[in-house]
Amino acid sequence: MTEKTATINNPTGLHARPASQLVNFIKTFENKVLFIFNDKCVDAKSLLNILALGLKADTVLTVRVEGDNSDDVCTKVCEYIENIKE
Amino acid sequence: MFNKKTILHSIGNGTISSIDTCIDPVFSEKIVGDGYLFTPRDNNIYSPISGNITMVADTNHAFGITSKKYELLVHIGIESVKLKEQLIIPVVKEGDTVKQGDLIATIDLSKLKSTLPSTQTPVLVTNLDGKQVKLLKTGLVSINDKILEIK
Repeated sequence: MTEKTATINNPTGLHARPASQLVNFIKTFENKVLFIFNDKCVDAKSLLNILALGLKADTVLTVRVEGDNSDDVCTKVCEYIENIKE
Repeated sequence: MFNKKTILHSIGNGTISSIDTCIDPVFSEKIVGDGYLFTPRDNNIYSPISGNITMVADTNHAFGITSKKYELLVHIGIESVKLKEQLIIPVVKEGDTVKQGDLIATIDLSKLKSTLPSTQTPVLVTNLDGKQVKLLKTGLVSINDKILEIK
């Protein structure tokens, strides 16, 4: 298991469009991926779960990845999150 | 027991068209999910299915509803994440249980029309995982009309 933090740089936060693209990216990995924010821990392969976190610009969340190559997958997911721009 | 159909009803009085006709490619290309496109004709938005409210966006423009099997996203208006005025007033909160046809939000339709690029409101299933949807009705609809079948 690996945990890393990522910052939301997108000015409008993680709303439907970027969140959907992020979920589709995360679904390309077989790993279990969890987002942890404000005492909530949710399955990051569910769009509604991610939207329910209400992640705004400049917030920092924790990404937890379980399974094979967890370190590599976690880094890729965090990089994806930080590079979301509209 | 298997292949049981799920029906989504209309979220209000308005017009239904295929999701392909949405002006925002993220919805027309089904990146978020598949479903139907609703354009409101009055100020009331209702739940298309019975379930739980699992998400209300901070900006009140999007609602997540989780039924027994499916997760739905009701996204009121296009580019509505950028709304500054309170033109959408939720009447439910996260954790509430709703029945199909319960009011979930009221909108200021005339102001939304002048503020947003479009009042098109995608109603999407976000966890189809390969299941198919079929549009049952297009054009003018009212609140209790059956709009989409998932099977």
